Amino acid sequence: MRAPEPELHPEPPRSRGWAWWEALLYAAIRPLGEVISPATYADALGAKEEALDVNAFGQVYASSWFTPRIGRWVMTPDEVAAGGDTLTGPTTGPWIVLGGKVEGATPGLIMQDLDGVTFLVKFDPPAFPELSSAAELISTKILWAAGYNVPENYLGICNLRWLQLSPRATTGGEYGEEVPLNKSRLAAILAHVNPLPDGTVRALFSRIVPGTVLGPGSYRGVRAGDPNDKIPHQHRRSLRGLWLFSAWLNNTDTRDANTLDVFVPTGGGLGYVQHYLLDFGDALGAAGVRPKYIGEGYVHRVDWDAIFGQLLSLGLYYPYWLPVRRAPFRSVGVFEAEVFEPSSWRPNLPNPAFDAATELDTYWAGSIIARFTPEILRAIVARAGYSEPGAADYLLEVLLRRRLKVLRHAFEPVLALDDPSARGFTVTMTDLEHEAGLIDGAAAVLSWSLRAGDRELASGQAAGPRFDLQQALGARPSFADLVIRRARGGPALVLHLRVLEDGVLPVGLEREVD
Amino acid sequence: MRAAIVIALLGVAHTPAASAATERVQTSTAWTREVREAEPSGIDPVRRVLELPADVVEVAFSPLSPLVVALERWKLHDRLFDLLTNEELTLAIVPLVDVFSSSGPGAGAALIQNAPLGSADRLVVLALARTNRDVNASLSLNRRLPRLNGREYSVGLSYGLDHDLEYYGLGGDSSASVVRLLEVESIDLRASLLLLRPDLDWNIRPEVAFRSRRLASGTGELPAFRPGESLEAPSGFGKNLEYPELTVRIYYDSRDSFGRTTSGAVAYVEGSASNDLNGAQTGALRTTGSVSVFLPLLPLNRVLFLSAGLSLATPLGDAGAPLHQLVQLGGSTTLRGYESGRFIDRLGWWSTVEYRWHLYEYADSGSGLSAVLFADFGQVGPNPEAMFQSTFHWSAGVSLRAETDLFLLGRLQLAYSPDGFRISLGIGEVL
Repeated sequence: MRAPEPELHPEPPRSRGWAWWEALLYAAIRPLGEVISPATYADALGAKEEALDVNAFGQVYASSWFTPRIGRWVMTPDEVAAGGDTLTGPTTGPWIVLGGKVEGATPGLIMQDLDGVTFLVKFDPPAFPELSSAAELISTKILWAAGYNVPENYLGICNLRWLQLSPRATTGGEYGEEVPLNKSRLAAILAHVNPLPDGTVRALFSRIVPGTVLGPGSYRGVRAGDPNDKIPHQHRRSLRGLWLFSAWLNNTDTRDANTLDVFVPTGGGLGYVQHYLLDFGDALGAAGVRPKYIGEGYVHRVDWDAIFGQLLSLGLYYPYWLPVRRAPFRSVGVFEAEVFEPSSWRPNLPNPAFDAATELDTYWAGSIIARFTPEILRAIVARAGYSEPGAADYLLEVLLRRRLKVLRHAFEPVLALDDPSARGFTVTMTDLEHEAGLIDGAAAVLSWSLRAGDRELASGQAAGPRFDLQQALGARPSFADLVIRRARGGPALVLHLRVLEDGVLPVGLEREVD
Repeated sequence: MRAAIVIALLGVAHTPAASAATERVQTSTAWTREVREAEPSGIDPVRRVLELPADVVEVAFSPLSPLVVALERWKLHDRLFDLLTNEELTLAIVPLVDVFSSSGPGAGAALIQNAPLGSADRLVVLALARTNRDVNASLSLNRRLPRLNGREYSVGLSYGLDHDLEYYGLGGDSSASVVRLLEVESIDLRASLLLLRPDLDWNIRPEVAFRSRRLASGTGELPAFRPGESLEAPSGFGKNLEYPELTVRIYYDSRDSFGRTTSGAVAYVEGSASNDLNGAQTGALRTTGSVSVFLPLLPLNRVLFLSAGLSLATPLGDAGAPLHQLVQLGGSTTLRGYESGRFIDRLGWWSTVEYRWHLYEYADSGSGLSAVLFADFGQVGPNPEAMFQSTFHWSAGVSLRAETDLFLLGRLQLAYSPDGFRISLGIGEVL
């Protein structure tokens, strides 16, 4: 299930993202264009294009965008919580400060530890300790386990007394120009940090990803100079389906600026581009240096639907999210599951890949989210190190309840059977709805029909997704289709089988969408 | 039931015996090993055609991109802000541009000293000039007196030269087709003091002023006013008038917010007296009363605003009341579908009904937009009988208010009246 090995090529030109233009484009210009675009109305009638980076089973194959992990093999809670870490964190000090972090809302530094590993160090806002660092760590672990490329993030203690300025350290000046990072500028950055009397403070250490930074990625189009980037990004299932993860985790800041394309050299001046997601300090209940505001995640920052709804209803329309309240924990912020509805979730800025998502993209993401068992999530949340009594339990509870909601939303229009496998003539699948506790035993009864072309070979009912087809395939057709649906009705799933002498082999899968 | 089908039957490869890791994969799933020869480019020509209008809009706005990028890259907004303000942010120069005036576009600047920032202690020096040579300049100083428990005094000096003030004559039945232009040059010097503590809902503000007026024939696209023609000349036309003026205003203000008011009331009674010193026999006693009420209809800033007022100017000289003392309806606060000063006479009443509702708030900033539906009514006349017996005037429209919790940033209004449509932009303190 692998894409072809990437074509090696010279380093593409670097690009720079512009947040203001991106905001104007997606908040105002594109919405205006979409109002007059027939594609918008065609999409509303169900004519959205399906994703292009999928295989015969609707799965995203491994590439420089995505590496199937928890959806591919069983992972233990400890494996997931360790999440791609190759270190245990930075070494002890002294640390060389190479620069100040000027992008984003949270203060930070770029430093190098004794082993020469470079980290981006981010601090929590003093009024809301653990808020953004925990959000970033939890989201990183989950998205890594799902299959996305994310930085290695470590929670640890930063001893400010270990910081030593490099003579070549730079930071952003008052007007964005690069200026030397001197002691006074370093002090200005650290003025937003609230260390203990011994100079220590909790921090998130984000390992700088290997390779040459090309600039932010994009949720639309392709990168110039990358011959492997053939599929417009808004047609990638891995990016489209990211919306469901973002909704689950309430990661509202899914702008181009929070992606990163890195050139990985392989030698001889050639290499390939690797695509990362980063900056999850706006996930869960956090929004960088503060908790989310009420409404964040429920409406775009400039939401034309809401504005025109208010205008045309003469104020009689009240948004559904008004009852949202802040969690009773400073380290959690605004994160809840009562009011949350996946279909109504909105990032701060409209995202072209999210907007292009179909039910199958959503199902794909749900099929991965379903693998995050309560035990796995508990292990991840434990890594976040919440010190407020009850905060970790509260957050876990909300994560689990939101998970159920996103799974219901993802599985509602399809038959959520997955992981087809065959031993001999016995085909088994995983009933994701049943495993996630969305349905009970009675509702899980399946009716099936085995067909060879137009001819029905056999049919029956099964208490679960296990089908013994030996007798039905007595005539040994070359191919057969196993059509499955719930006994109570609903959309069907067609599993295409290659019939061999000693068994069957699943070769493809189709899902009806209700 | 819609059917969306994923079909991709590719070549099948029987999975070989594998390593332990692969075996683990094979026993839990039965994925085929597939290798695509090349990823598709994904260009669907039909789709591209359907998306074309959106792309055209994006291209149309693309010339804005270099400007927006430059603003962000070079922090032009920060540089401009730092250029126009001092480090303590107690001094600011604010460029002014007015493109909505019927006199033509104008530009100018205001110097604002506000120390400490956000306080009522403020100095504002403003100058604005228009392409038709109209000029407005003013200086106003507000200060609180700590020794008098924060009572506020205010002094101001302003100069205005308006070449094309539209004059429709006196009376409530003036016709829009008989408009003439006046030139008005005005100088006002005033000083006032709040008598009671500023934290009270009630207060009294006496004001002394010295006003100079010169009324002459105007210049512009419309006909200039000539005495003896169809319209009655305003009192003091053609003369240099100088009026000392004394005004006392008693007011009540219980609004819960100056920006996004949801409840409370504002009421005032005002009496003023002015008389020309140059023998033009023009002066007046003017009495005005107004009540405005804010009624919350529904939660979260859905408000009914009701306002009514009455004013009477009693001439003190044989030449009648001066133009600036007469009741004038039309403009950006009364009968908004009519031009400013559309109806002028000694006596007048006005009322407004507005329904305001929340439209948009940026994050939890407290700043946002409200929409307004409004209807204005009013009439003027030389005496009560004439005024109340004649049909009143009306206008209606919609407005967009940019507000914070603390103050109104501005209003954009579109109003209709039998005279036609009128767009106006209002900045500053209105209810």
